[in-house]
Amino acid sequence: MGYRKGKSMKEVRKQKVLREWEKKKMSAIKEEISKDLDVNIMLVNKILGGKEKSGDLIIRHFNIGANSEFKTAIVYMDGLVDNATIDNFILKTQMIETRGIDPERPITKDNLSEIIKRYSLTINEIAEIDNMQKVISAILYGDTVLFIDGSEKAFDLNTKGWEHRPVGEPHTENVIRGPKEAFTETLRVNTALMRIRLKDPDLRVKQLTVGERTNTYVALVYIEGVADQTLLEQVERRIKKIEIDGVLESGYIEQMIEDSHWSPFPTLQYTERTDKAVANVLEGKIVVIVDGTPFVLIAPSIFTQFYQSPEDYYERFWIGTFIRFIRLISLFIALFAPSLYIALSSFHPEMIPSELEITMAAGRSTVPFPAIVEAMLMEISIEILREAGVRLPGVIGPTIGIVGALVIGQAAVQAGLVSPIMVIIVALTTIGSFACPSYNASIAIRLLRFPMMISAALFGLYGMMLFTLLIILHLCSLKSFGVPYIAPISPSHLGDLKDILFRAPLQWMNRRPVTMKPEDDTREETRGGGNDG
Amino acid sequence: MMAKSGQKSQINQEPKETSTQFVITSRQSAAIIICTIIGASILTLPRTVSAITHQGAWVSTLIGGIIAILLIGIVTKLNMRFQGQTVVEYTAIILGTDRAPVIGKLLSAPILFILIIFWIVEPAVITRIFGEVIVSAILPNTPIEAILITMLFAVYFLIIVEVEVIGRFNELAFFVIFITGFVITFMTMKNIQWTNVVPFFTVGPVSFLKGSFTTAFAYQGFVVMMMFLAYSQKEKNVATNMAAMGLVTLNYVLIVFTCVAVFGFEELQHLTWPVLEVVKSTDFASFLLERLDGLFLALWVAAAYTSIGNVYYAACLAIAQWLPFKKKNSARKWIGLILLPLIYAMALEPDSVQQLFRWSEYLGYYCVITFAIPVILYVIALIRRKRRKGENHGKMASQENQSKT
Repeated sequence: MGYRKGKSMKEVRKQKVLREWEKKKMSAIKEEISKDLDVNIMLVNKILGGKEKSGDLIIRHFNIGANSEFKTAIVYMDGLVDNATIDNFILKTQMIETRGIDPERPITKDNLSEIIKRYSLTINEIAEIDNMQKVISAILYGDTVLFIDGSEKAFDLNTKGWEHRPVGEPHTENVIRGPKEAFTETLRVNTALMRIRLKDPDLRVKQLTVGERTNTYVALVYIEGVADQTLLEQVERRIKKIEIDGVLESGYIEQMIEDSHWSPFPTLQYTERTDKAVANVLEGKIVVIVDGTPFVLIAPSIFTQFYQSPEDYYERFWIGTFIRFIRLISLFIALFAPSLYIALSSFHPEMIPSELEITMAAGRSTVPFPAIVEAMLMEISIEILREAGVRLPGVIGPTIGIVGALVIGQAAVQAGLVSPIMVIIVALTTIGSFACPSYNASIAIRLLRFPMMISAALFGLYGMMLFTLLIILHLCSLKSFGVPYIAPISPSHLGDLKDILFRAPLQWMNRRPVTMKPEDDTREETRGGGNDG
Repeated sequence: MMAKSGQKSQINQEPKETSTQFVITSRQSAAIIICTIIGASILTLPRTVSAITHQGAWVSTLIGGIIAILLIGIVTKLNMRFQGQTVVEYTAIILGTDRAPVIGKLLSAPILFILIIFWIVEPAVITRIFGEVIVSAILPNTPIEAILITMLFAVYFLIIVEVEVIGRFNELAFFVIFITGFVITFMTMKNIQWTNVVPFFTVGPVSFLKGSFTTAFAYQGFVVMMMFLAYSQKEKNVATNMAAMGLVTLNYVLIVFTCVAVFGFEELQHLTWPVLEVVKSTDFASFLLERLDGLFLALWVAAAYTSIGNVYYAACLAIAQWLPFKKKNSARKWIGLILLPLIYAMALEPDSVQQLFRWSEYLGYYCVITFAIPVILYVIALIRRKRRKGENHGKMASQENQSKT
């Protein structure tokens, strides 16, 4: 009851705020542009709060025409625009060059806009707009709006030019060999990065706006004729259904459109690598770029993608396969190592070879806790160290890692709090979870490690196996945009399996994975150029 | 940053896709067969068979397997005749007439009753067998109730998922079960003594038939396919299903042969869990793991889990379809929940392992009746020329499927 009451109160408050806001703004924002310049400027001031409340709002009045008889004004947000463009190609051309117009064709009030558009406005992208809503959104997106006294149309001039981070190297998904360009925070730069790698006329960049207040641009990038049409509709429908006031990171979109909110496993993949995004688009998937974050989303995503890295395809296939196996083993270690230690040492010591068992027992003889407490102690402290390592300033981070791992570990063994084997296992587990190329999958494994340890402490190997079966069952029940999460292992597709555990030679991969239901499943015949004799 | 919570639950609701009917692929149906059959009963199979046929135990197992292969073929054929329908639906059609469907429903009631009772008792017995093994072999200090409760509780998670998830889960579990089954068998072959197995034929032919009769309980799991095949429609199902049964037979024959060859049939009679003993007796890769039985049993949890889960699922699905529930899906979940304490109580019912074995023996006789059901139904369907109503439904579905692939 309390919850419902609280919710309705919240709802009422929101409604009230909305109504007030609407009364103040909406009446103004719905207005058409008037012929009177002063009315237009007054409306803009009213909506955006004027110079007193919005310090970065710039309104510049000036006159144009042979005798400077026509009143005009430009409105823009300082900082969002490129000042040089405004100075050189709006103000200078309008104020100076409209004077020297051919006397054969004198400027009158009627043909003013036409003449400006045709002869003196040296801006590449302009649009005529006729209502206040468009004016405001143009200003907020970094455009400049030119009002002309006596005209019912205003010009939306492209002067976007805010400061943004240049394209840099990826920080989260490092590879040894491969392109070093990562996405950046600006949507347009990101779409350009994709287009420059995929010069396909069928590449589509479908733009949507999400967020009632942030009005964030979201772009769906896909190849028409390759991506499944129903998949595209599904992604688009889910994004359009989002009702949220702000989108600050693609994580917001991810959580609002994913299939299962409750699962620890991510059903959407994210990446900041351009090559990875392009590779996925080529497989018939859809990449969702969100303005304001370098992390783009890939839909749909299946489990096997999370231990694959673009680098697998850049090295020759033996190496790619080997590295992939190493990653799988490390995933298993990250999930099972501490629980195996607990299960074997407290339930099934007979399974450990005798010499090792004696050493382990000797190591544990001074430890006052049962194995589960010992393991929890170490695992939790390593998680704390890891979290602290992320927050610490760059220079100190690695140092703390060494202090934590070596010094504390060594001291804990000497103090008799934990056994030496436990330190080895914790170290292996941590390193193992770092070997997973995608962070959100490795975090799921880190999370599941703890219930696994508890079930191992309760029922030994039997408990571990039961919990593993439940995890597998959960993975089986997940879907990502209609694609089973553990495809193509099950429902099995032999053709797709060549890129799951193994990484088959590129020559064999002349079909797109059927799992993603591509409309056109044939890649161009991939043929080596080397051996043509 | 505040989403309108009212609409949240609806955000990812997709319109129902049209092809929810046929969600199990033929490989998945093969996996379901293998995972359902290979379960707890394999642990005692070598003892029960060799008690009657001595050295020739593997021959009886082979005969039983061949019969089972034929039976799964008949079950698949029957399902192809009534594509998209489960045993609950087609039994009524086969036995009834078009004019008075009530007759068919009434006549089918005892048959379905026999099946469902079987599908409820069997998980209980398997759970108990498995609990006994776990307690006696790897968790001696744990009360058996704890094992039964955790196992049944975990199995319940299988009941609440859709049928297509069952298919996928079995396909994954297949690898675990199958690989352990064969790897363990080949490892133990090291200790084979040929003097224990030759000559094969020391008893009369009647004993061989009797021996294969005792393997019935080990092979019975495939009857659940009368439910699951309704969700599968591939034409090559007959071949794949029979091949799956062939693999099961091969595994059984190898294990029975190995057990007899390692211990000899006399000694085998004194071992409660012969397969477990044979695993204990091997030292393969002992530099890594001193003993294999713990690992073997841990992996065998998957086999028991799928056996119990699939049969239990079939029971819940059948009851939900049989009784006039409106929402079949949620009915299945509730039925599963109601059956859970019942199965638990039944699993605790036998007082001792001896009594438990007697139970499984009786269940073995009982399941011969369940074997007869598909055969009888198929014969009647052939004689009465009964098919799924709306002949072209099946054809259309298969065409649709072809165009998809």
